[in-house]
Amino acid sequence: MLQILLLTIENDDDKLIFEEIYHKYKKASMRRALKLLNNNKYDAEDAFQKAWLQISQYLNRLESHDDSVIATYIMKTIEFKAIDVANENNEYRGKLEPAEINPQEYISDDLMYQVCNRERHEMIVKVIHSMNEKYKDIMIMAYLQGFDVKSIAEQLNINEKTVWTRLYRGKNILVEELKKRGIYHE
Amino acid sequence: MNEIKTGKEKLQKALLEVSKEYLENIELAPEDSVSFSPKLEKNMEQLLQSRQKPCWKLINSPLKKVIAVCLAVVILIGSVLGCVMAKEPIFEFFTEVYEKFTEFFFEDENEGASDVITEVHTLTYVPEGYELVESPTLTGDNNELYTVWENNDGEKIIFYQSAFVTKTTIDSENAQKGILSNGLQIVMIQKDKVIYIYWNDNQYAYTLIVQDMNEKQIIEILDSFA
Repeated sequence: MLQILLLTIENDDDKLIFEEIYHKYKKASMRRALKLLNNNKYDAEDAFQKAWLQISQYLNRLESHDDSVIATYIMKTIEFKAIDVANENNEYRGKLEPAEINPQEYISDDLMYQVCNRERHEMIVKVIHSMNEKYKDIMIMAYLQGFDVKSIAEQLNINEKTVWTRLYRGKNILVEELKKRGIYHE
Repeated sequence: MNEIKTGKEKLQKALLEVSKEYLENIELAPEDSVSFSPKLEKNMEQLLQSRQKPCWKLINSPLKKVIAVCLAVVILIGSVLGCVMAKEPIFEFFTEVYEKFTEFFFEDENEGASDVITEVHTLTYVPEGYELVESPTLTGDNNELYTVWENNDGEKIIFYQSAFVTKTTIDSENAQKGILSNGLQIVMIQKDKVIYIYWNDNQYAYTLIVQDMNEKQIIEILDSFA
């Protein structure tokens, strides 16, 4: 099947930013890919190329242009693609089906913000740190980088339902842990 | 509302701090282990170049075979869009929104589809101010053909005819489909100010790409398809 994506017309600023960012992070991102893929140069180049192709498509959707946000996005994209490359021949990934969301798990964004608002910064950081990587990554992509569920699913090569599941669970962990450990209900 | 806004800011601040700590602790391979193969460098250079040129200009580049395909997003709309005559303004039909990616197929047997272009189709009308800058030009193995018009503002109209493909997928987010007065069933996708319109006649697939153009003009162009 021929599968072609529409090219997106972007303004000159977007193009300049991408080129600048590529040159800025080119070496570091390759070092990260090599590290994650046990210095297998072939796999690292594969992951590197896939990551930057994806970055070129999604970079202009980043909500924040903070250097740390951009750097995290790039390095995480390298990680995701390195994992993809490492798992390429592994059928297990495709067979994973997300569990159904328990309605009780549903936490609205507003409730999460309200809880965060009443909590100390250090405690919020601590709880996020304690999360499983897969929830933490989704929380960062959704609430810091500003990607919607569809974009996250495309970039992580997982289905949208899985993204929703991880998002719900990430929010649930954050709110429940803040309630347990923090001052919200004190 | 303030509580939600400040809560959101606090969450973002915390996530930013977590991101910074992640970056500070990230493990990298030694600097001297890094090298880039010529093939990778070439691929990345192409990626950078593709972002340096607007799509409209790429059609004239040496990469036109590839880019023409990418640009035009060849579509085949057979079973999805069978022929039904109707006389309605285009906007009344642009109501069906596809959720994500949509596949377009020729009909099962696909007996009418051509491997090469033997019959050239064209548009007999383009709005005033546009001049033909690329006469119908065959690319590839005589299975793709494009024509380009341009106005003084550099805005282009690209008409693309394609043979050979039996099935393809397009990024049809926000795509809308409609039927024109001449019976053409089309799918329209708008990306910023660029409008992509696709249809087929079960022999060839067609793409019209216009920039910053109103519905009336688009209808007139499509009505002139011959």
